[in-house]
Amino acid sequence: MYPANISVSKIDTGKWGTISVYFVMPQSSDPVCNVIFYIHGAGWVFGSFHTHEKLVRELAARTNSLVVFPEYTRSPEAKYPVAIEQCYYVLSHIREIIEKIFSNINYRTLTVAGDSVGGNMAIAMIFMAKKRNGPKVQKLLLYYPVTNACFDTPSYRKFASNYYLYREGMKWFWRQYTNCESDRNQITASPLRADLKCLKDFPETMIINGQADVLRSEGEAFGEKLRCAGVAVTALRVQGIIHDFVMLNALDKTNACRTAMDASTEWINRNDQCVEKSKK
Amino acid sequence: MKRCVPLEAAAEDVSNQSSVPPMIFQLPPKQGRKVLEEAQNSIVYICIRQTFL
Repeated sequence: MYPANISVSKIDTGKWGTISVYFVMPQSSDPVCNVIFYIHGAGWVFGSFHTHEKLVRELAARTNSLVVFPEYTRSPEAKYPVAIEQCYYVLSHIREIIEKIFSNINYRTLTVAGDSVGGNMAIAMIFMAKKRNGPKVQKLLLYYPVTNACFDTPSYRKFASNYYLYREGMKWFWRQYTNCESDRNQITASPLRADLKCLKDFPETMIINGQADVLRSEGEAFGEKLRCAGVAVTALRVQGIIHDFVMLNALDKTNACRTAMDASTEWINRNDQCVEKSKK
Repeated sequence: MKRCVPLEAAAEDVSNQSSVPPMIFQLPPKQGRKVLEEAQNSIVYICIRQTFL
């Protein structure tokens, strides 16, 4: 795995409880000028820092970024919106949290990122930050995000079983995360249902989807909707690969994972554009 | 397995391994978490590409 210095703190998120937050600092002599707030996937039920360690170490090392990684309370123990409220608490206090732990970081760009349901919650962070006057996010990076509680899309039909992530599995994950249809209908749960007005002013976004993934249709549809709302979107479909391909250690050496990591880290490293944009 | 789209070899292996019941979502959450945590114990090496001028 890529070298990094890793530390962990307990953060009290008020009424949402106390969670662990990991900090992944690259081992570079250059000063860190980016922060990536990373929300992990694995169905709201599974996943942890351990399961995503190789992915976030690579992001930190290849973008010279401090990765801030909340270990939110998973479902079914916690139901919507506990996990997104916990994550948002950390995001909205990110500057003071970082300053308390690291004395020498003066970052220029804040990227919110996530994979699968982590991508779903990363999108929720943008809605919440917009609504609550939260921190300005320059970039949104989404690996095969969940964007809609709907199981009848072309990719759901084509890859319903035998391609690692099953349609029945996604139905089960949604049942663990949400209590009712009203929860699923919120734009912080099903962001594809947001109207264009709500998507306007989203940060520039990269969405990477795998070809053989039940979530591909909704991920691509979200990218198209963002573009309709006037957001700068970079969208990729990587062939010959299944869900979770940037997370699973077993798939790290696939052409798909290497291509996605090359593209996403290069995209984060394009900082000039967002510095210029923030000056306007 | 005959597939509607061809997969990279490692993805084919993961798909085949994960298609044997019980599926991870059929396990109690604590047990399913353990399965994924253990799967991610495998060591990952970094490929260092060298350029010869």
